[in-house]
Amino acid sequence: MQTSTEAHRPKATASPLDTVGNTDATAICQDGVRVTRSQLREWASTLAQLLSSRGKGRVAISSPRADRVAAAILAAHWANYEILLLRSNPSRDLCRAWGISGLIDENFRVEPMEGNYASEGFQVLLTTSGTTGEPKIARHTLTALLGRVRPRPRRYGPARWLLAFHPASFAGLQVLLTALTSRDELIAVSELSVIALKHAALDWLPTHLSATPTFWRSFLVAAGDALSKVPLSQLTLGGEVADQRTINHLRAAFPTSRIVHIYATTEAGAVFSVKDGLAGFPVQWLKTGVEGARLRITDGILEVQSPCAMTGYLAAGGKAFTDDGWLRTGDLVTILDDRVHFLGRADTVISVGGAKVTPEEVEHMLLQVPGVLDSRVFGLPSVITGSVVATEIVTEVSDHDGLRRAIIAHLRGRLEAHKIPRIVRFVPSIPVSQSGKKRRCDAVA
Amino acid sequence: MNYDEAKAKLIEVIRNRLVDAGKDIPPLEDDTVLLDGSLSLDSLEIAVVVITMGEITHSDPFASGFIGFQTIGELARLYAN
Repeated sequence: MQTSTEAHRPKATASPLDTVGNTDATAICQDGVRVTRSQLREWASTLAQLLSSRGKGRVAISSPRADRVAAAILAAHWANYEILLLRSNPSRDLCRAWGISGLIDENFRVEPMEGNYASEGFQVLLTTSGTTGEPKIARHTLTALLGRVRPRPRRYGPARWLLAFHPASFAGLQVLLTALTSRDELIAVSELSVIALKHAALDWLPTHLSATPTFWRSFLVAAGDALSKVPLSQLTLGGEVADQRTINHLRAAFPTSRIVHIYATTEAGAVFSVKDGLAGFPVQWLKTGVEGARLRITDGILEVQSPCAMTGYLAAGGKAFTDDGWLRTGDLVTILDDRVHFLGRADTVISVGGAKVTPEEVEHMLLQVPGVLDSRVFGLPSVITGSVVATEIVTEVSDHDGLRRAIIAHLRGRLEAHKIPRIVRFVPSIPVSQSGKKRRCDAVA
Repeated sequence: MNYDEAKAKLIEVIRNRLVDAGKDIPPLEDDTVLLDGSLSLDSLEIAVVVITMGEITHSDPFASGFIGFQTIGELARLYAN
């Protein structure tokens, strides 16, 4: 006879997610505490029962803890819920607008919310930056999410992943699902600073690490030669442009490891990986396609058709696909020596270590600060983080240092840290283009 | 700019960032590691330090890409002629 907690455990291996297993092997080591596979199942099973008792719907979790997010995803899968992964708690109004009927906390209690969307099945929803400050939400099916996730062959032995992305990000979710479905160990820390991750890497000696090029460069600055003590057999770069210099540095630090860079976006999913150690990707992929995806360049912008793409944005998210069904990535590319190279964004979005910042969102906040008459937010190129957010401010206030402090104090807590301008300059006026729009190109440093 | 001048500029830039952020200012020496926690600067702040050094010195040692460095001395040396 089944016990009550068995009720929501899958009876057969119905999907790769069910391979999480039921053993005392470590699934996730969260902030130094081991969570076994059976513990993870126990949490997921209890939560799935709770969700099922409330019908079907859409729930959200906002937690920096991979163990909590993993259990919540399993539970939503078993209870046929949609689950929205967030990095901060949404307001009740947003929950209503997004159809969220419950907010899962870190003890797996579900706080009722007023949204009442009736889900038709399990999907994972991820946020991506919108142009107005309110995030857009991309919906992914399990099949699309697992499209590029292949359980690693057992002959390579157990792997240990270090999670360097937030578990609610697309890249973080890929690492989480890969480790879970391959029955590998995942090392996760709630504080995603380079320093905390350096300590985790040296303490736990991961074999696999996927991170942004910005993270890898910062890792080299933070750890230097100590990095070579980490027995990495695979290094993955994703989330922003992987340049040749960074790849070469990692190659020198890890001469025998596999180095892969992945092209993935929250909307397009994981499209392809490049394994030849060169920046960009082979130009023939524009003809042949790669890994089930088709690629083309329109007006200098990469467009993709990918089996791993999102099913679409949640309502009012905007139009991401062209009329003939291609997803416009917004990434500018150029062809050089039989390679397609990434140049940056075609829109005004600033990429700070792979995290998107919309200038308009920051400018909107800046105008709320008393004394700020006008502002222009732009990215200054950085060899470490890709870009750094900078702003020019027009003011009649003479105490610039005081106003600078007031600006930072106002933005802190209202914007994520990477969106807060790190360089604040004062100018007599903001240059505008002939069409009356603010000039968005990087200021000449 | 010689090494001592570049180091003095770099230390001034770092000190200003720490003051602006209201952080403690530990001794800033040649062998101070920039990103091991002792300076309370994150990688974005180090990125700002590098941008500011480029503006002050009118030189960009990173023009053709990332170069490894760990300490104040190693970064200062990149700006020294």
